[in-house]
Amino acid sequence: MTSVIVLAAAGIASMFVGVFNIKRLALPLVLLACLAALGIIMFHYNGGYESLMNNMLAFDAFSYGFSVVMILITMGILVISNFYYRNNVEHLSDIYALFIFSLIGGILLCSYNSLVMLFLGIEILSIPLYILAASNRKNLFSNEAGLKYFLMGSFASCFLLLGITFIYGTANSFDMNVIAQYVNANPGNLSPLFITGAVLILGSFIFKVSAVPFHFWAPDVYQGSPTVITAFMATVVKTAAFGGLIRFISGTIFPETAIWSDVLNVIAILTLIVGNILALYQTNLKRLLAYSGIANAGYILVAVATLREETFGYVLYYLTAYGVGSMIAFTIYFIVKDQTGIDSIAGLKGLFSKNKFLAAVLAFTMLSLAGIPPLAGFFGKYAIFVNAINANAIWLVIIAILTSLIGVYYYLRVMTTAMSAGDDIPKLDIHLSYKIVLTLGVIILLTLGVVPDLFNNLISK
Amino acid sequence: MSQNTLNIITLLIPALPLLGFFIHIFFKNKISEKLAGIHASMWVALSFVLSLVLFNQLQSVEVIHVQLCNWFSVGGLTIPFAFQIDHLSIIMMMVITGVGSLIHVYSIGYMHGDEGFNRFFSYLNLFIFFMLTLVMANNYILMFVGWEGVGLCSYLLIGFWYKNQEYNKAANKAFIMNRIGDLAMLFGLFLLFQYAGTLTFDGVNESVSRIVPDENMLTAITILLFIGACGKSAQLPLYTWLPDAMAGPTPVSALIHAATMVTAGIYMIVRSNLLFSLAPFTLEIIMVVGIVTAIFAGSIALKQNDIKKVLAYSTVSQLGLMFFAIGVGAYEAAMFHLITHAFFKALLFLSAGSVIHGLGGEQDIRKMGGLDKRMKITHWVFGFGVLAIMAVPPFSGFFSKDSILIAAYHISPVLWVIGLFAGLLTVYYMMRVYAVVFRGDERMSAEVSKHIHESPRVITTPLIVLTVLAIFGGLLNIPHLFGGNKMMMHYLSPVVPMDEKHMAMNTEIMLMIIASVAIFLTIYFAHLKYKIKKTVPEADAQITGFGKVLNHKYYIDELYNAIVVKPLNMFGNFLYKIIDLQVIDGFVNGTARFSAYCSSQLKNIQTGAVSFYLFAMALGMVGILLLIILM
Repeated sequence: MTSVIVLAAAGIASMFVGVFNIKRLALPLVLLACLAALGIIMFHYNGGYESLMNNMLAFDAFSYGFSVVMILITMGILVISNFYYRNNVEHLSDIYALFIFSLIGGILLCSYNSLVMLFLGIEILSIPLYILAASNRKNLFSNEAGLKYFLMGSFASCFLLLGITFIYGTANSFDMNVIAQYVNANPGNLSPLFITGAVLILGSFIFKVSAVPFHFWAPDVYQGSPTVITAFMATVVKTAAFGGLIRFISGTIFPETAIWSDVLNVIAILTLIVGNILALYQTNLKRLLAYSGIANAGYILVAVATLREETFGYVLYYLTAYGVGSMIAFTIYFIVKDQTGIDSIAGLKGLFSKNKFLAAVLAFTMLSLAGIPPLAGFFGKYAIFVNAINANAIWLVIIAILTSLIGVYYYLRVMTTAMSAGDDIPKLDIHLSYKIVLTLGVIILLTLGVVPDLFNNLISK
Repeated sequence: MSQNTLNIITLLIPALPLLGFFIHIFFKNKISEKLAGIHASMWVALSFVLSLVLFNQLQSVEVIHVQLCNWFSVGGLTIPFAFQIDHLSIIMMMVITGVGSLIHVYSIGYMHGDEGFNRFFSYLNLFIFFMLTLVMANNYILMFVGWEGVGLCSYLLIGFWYKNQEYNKAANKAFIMNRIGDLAMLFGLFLLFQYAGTLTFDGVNESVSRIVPDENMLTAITILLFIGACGKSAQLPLYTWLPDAMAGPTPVSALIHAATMVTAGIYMIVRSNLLFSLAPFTLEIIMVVGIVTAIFAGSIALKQNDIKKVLAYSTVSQLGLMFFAIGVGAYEAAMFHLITHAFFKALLFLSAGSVIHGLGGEQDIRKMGGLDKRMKITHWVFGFGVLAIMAVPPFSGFFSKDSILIAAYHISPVLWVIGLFAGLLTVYYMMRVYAVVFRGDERMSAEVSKHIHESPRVITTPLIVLTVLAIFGGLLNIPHLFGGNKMMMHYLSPVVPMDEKHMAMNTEIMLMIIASVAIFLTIYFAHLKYKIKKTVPEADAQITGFGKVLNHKYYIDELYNAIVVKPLNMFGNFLYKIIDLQVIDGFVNGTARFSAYCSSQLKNIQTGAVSFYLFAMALGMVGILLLIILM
C-alpha cells in the first residue's frame, strides 16, 4: 500500500511541477517514485498477506508480482515519452501524471478484494487512458481513438456494473470472500442471476484484454493513439487486465469451471485464430503490433482457461516477455516513423545495412515474440502449453501451436524485411534514452530466456 | 576458508576465461597482438592458480557445492545452475587450466603474425570456459551445455583458416560426427531422467542405489551415453573426424584434440561409474570397442606420413586404451592414463608444431630428417615425449599403461596380451616418426633447409615444462610394487569406489618384465629399420599390399561415403524434389492462400464504425450466455 501512496503523491506532485514551470524535474520525480515503489515492494514485502480498508484491498505475492512488472514497463515507457513529447513540452508533466494514475489503477486492479474496488481500479486505469489516447490534440486519428476508446470503454463499464449488481443481488455482498462462500455453498446450483453477473464481469475483462469478439476497438485505437500510449495500452493495461481477470476467477468462481473455463476456452480459440490470421496480412507495422497484441491475449487466455495455482507465475512470465517485446517493437516503430515517415513493414527494407543496432534489437524482439529459444518468448509459450497439457486441454494446445506457427511467419517477415538488402532508410539517430531502454529490454529478453527460473526467484519470494 | 570465499573462487574459475573471451569480442580491433596473447593466457593461468587453491581446500572437505540459481524447472524436472567440485573434477580442472595455459603461451609464438590472431585467442578462451563448465557441472544438463560448447569451439578452431575449403569440410565433418553421438547421448539422458527422476549427479547416484536395478533399462541408458562418448572421444565407428580435425592450428590439436576435449567422454563415463558398473554388458561393449579402436587406429598410424596425422591416430588409439581400461572396470587407471596422456600427447603435438613451424609449414615426414642437429631443444623434448608414450620405464606412460594392463590381466591374461599388442603398435610407429623426422639425412629442399631454425623461447619454454610433466607424471600413482601407495587411486576413491584386487607380487613383476622386454625389442626392430638402415617411407604410389590398405585408413572414409553419405544424399534429393517441392509446398501454399482469403474476409468486418462494434459486443455477450446455457 505504501508503494501506491508514494506513486499517487508523485503523480500529484508531477502536476504541480507543471504548474510551477519546473518541468525538468518531472521525469526524475516520477522515475524516482517508481523506483521507490519498486524498492518498497522488493525489500519490504515479506511474502505475507496484507488486508486493508475492511478487506477491500489485499496485497499478496500475486498482486506484488504483477505490480513489479507493471512498474518496470511503465518506467521504460516514461523514459521513452520524454523524447517523444519533445515538441509538446507544456503538457509533459500532466502526461506523466496520467501515466502514473493509470499505473495506480493497474496496481489496484491486481490487488482488489471487493467488487467495488475492482470497478474503481478499472476506472482509475481507464480514464487517464481516454485522455492520453486523445493527447495528440491536433491529430484527427488521435481524437478518434480517444473517443472510440471512451465509448467502447463506457459500454464495457456498463457490463461490469451490471454484473456487479447481479452478483450483489444474489450473494448479498461486494466482498470476494463472502462471494466465494456463496459459490462454495451452492455447488452446481448457482442462481442464474449470479451466473449472468459473473459472465458480464468476464465480458468486461475480455474487452479490456482485447480478446475476440470484443476486440474491434483495439486496432483502431492502437493505431490512432500516440505511439507511447499504444505501447502503454498494449503492455501495462493488458497486464493489469489479466491480473484482474485471474484475481476475479481465482477469488470467486473458481470451483464453477462451467462458467469460466469453458467460456474462456472458446474465447481463447477464437482470439488465437482471428488475431493471428488478421495479423498475417497487415502492411502497417503499428497495426500488425495491435493484432499481435490480440493474438498474444489468446495465448494468455489459454493459460487462464486452464488456471491452476502455479499458472499465475507462467502468466506473469508471459506478460513480461510479451510486454518488454512489444515495448521495444513500438519504440523501434516510433524511431523509424519519426525520422523517415515510414510506417509500413515493407518500408523497413535495408534497415540492417545502415542501422545495425536497431536491426539487431528488432531481430531479437521479433524472435522472442515468435517464440524462438533462447529468448523469453519461447519459455513463456512453452510454460503455458505444458500447463494446458497438464490440464488435459490438448485441443487448445494444438490450436495454439498451429496459430503460433502463423505468428512465426508474420514476426519473422518483419525481421527478414529489415535484414534484407536495400537502401531506402538513411542512418537514423537514436536518442541515448532509447538506446538504454532498448538495450535493457533485449538484456531482459535474453536473461529471462536463458535462465527462466531467475524470474520466479525474483518475483515469488 | 569461509563458504563465501569458496563460492567466489569457484565461480571465478570459469568466469575468468569467459571474461577474456568477452574482452576479445568487444575490443576486437583495439588491442595489439601482444596484449591479446598475454591477457588471454593470463586469465587461464589465473584460473589454474585458483584451481590449485581449491585443490588445497579439498584436502579437508570431499566436495564443494556452489549453487548459483535454479536454471529452469518444468514439471518434475528441475535443473540447477550449480557447480560441484570433487576430487574427480578438480583433477580435470587442473589439467585443463594447467595444460591450457601452457598451450596459450605456446600459441603466442606459434600464431605470431596470423591475421586471425585475436580471434584465435578468443576461441581458445571460450573453449576453456566451456570445458570447465563441462567438468564442474553438478548435473548432466549443465555438463551437456559444456559438452556442446566445446564442440562448437572445436568446430570454430578446426575451420580456423576458413579460406581453405578443405578445412571447412573437416570442421563440418567433426561437427556432424559429434551430432550423431550427441543425439544418442540426449536419448540416454531422457531415459535416465525417466529412470532416476532427476539429472543431478548426486540425485542419480542416490536413486540408482535406491531403486532395484532394471538391467535392461540401465544397459540401454549406458549404451546411449557411451555412443555419445564415442562421438566426442573419437572411438569406432565415429572416430573419422579426429584425423581430419588436424586441419586446425597445431596448438588446437594439442589442447582440444589430444589433451582435453576428446577426453570428455572418458570423464563422463567415470563420472557416471555407478551407472556403468550396474550394466556389465555395456562395460563389455566398451572394452571391445576400446581395444579394437586402439589396435585399429594404431595400425593405421603405422603407414601415415603426415606428422600430425600419425599423432592423431595415436590419440585415437590411446583413447581406445582408456575405454579399454573403463571396460575392465579400472576407472582410476583410465583417469590416470588420461592425465599422463594429456601431458605427453600435448608435448608431442606441440613439439611437432615446433618442427612444422621451423620448416615453414611442412608436415610430410618424408621431407624432413636430420633435424636433431638443427633443432636441439625440440629434438630433446620430442624424444622424451616419445619415451613417455612408448611406456618405457620409468617415464609417465609406463605407469599408466601398466596399471591398465594389470587391470586387464585380472579379467583375463588374453586381454593382457591384446592390450600389450596395442601398446607395441604405439612403440613402433612412434619410433618410426622419431627416427624419420629427427635422424637420418636431411631430405627437405635446399630452400627450406636454409630457413630451418629452432623455435623462439615462448614456444620452447612450455615444451620444457610439459617435458618435466611427461617424465615425472607417473609419480602420481606409483604402485605398491615400487613402494608407492597409489596416491591417485586413493584420491579418487570418494568418486570412484576403490576396488583394489590383490595380485601376487611375483606375477606383477613378471608381467612388467615381459611387457618391458617386448617394448625394448620393438624399439630395437624399429630402430634397426628406420635409424640404422635409414629407411624412408615410400611415396604413396609405391605402397602395395596391406600397407596400402593401412595408408588408406582401411578405406573407412570411402566406405562411409558409399553406405551412408550417398544413400542419404539420394534420400534427401527424393525428399526435396518429390515430398517437399510437390507435396508439402503444395499444402503450405494452399494453407497460405486459404489464410489470405480468410484474412481479407475478416478485414471487411473491421469497418471502423463504433455502432457496429457495440452491436458486435452485445451480440458476443449474448453468444457467451447462450454458450453457458447450452453447455
